[in-house]
Amino acid sequence: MNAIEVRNLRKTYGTHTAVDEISFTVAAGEVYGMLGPNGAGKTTTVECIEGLRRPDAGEVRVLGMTHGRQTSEIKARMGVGLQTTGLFPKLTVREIINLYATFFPRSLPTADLIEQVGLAEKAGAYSAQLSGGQKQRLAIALALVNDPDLIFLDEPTTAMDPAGRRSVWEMVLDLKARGKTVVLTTHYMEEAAHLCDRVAVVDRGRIIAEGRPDDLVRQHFAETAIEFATPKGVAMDRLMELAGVNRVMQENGSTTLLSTEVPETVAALLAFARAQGFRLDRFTVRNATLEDLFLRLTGRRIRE
Amino acid sequence: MNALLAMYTATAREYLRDRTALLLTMLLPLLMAGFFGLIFEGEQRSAYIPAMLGLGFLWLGVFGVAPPLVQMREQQVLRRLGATPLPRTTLLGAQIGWRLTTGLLQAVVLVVFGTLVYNMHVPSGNWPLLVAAVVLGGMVMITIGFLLAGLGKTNESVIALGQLVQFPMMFLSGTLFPLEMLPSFVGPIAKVMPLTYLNDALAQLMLGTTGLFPLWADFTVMGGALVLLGALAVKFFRWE
Repeated sequence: MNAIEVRNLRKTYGTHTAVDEISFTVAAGEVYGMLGPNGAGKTTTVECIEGLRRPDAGEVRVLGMTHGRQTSEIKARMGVGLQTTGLFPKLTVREIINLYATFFPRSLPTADLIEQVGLAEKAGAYSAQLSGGQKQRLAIALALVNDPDLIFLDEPTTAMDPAGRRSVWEMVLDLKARGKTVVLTTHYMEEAAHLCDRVAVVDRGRIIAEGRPDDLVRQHFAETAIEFATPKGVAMDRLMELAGVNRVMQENGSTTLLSTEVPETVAALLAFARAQGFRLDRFTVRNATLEDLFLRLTGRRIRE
Repeated sequence: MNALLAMYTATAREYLRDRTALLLTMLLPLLMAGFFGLIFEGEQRSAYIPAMLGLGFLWLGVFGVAPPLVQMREQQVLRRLGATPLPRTTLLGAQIGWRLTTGLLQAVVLVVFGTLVYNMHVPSGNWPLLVAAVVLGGMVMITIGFLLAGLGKTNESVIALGQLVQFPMMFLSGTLFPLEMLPSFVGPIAKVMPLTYLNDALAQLMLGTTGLFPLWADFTVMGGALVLLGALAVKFFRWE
């Protein structure tokens, strides 16, 4: 069964089209990621599925139900972590979780949830006193309070340090292991690659690529990326002529050569650099990533 | 029921932990009653108790109801609650319920203060109607707060709007100055402000004096104002 089915979803604000004919399905038990820059339409899409926004056009089915008469039934079985956490500022962590527990017929014990998101030491603190990352973790606890079948996490790790990010990743993988369906939005490609069974790359209200992260990269890149800091005053169009180079991408002071013949390209590049007299700073050879994919498809980076 | 009680408790906690709101709605009317007590002597000292209760209710609506609602909207608390099965009516019921509780507490504080310190005697037959006037008047002022929250976009604009409502009501409804003392053009203005009728009813019921209007007229106007303002508040209320 599909947890979510979205067909031709459309949402406009005045003349701005936030979501432009988006269609996708999420299978039950799947972790589905929407990857894209800020303003791409990820949040609007997710909020239309949650029932927080009314789409202008298109169909949305959630857990086999549609919004309208079945909205409260859908809401009882879903959990939502908003990007803007939306917490009562003068209530404590424990009080907020206890409060949300009363909204649902069934709920998990507050102490367990607090433990699970690592806020045991802050259980008695007002939410206004929490750091950005701690607020995000509390928001995740609230998303789990009703032991939902379907969980939405909107940019769950945005304000977090690396340790916090890793702990959220573990939580998501744990939810997946327990058979929950998770939809998350992110602009971190490592996050999408690490957590998601499938990823939709979203740009300007449209899904421009969709699939398993590895497949997506492999589909679009048979090549390996050779990256280095763009040297000044060197005719870069000559890089295309180096052995094995299929494509040259330049952005934000770094140059990426996509090559199918890595040893030949590296040898040619070193010779070229010596002949031209420039240094290869920050020289790396790596596999292509979702970031490269986004750059190739849109000409821009996800984080600008 | 459980959710309603929990939301009510949450609203109460947020209010009690916010010093500004507590100060404005609870302490300030009491301080002003004390201040008037220093100026006047004898029976005149208790004469300001009903007006201070009216003023407390005005502040409850303008500063106790509207800004918290706008903050909940701005901080996306309403949006987050909207992602749960909690019915909106429960949320509103808890909000109104707690604000009304606050109004009743204000009334108790001022009546006890007036009785103990200024020898005020509420005629014993007046208690049921006094409670009714407090509840009705409280509801009118709370509704004004909801309407302001709907009309103003940001916290700042709601506070500015609140001032716009507060000043004429405070000065022209017989709260600070008896209407007889004010120039004659104030009369028509006073007659369209619900606080005038609340003050009039409270003064009659608490002090046993004769009012500007018969009690039934005070109650009728407040009831009408509640219906009219309630309809406007529903029309303009915004969840996001």
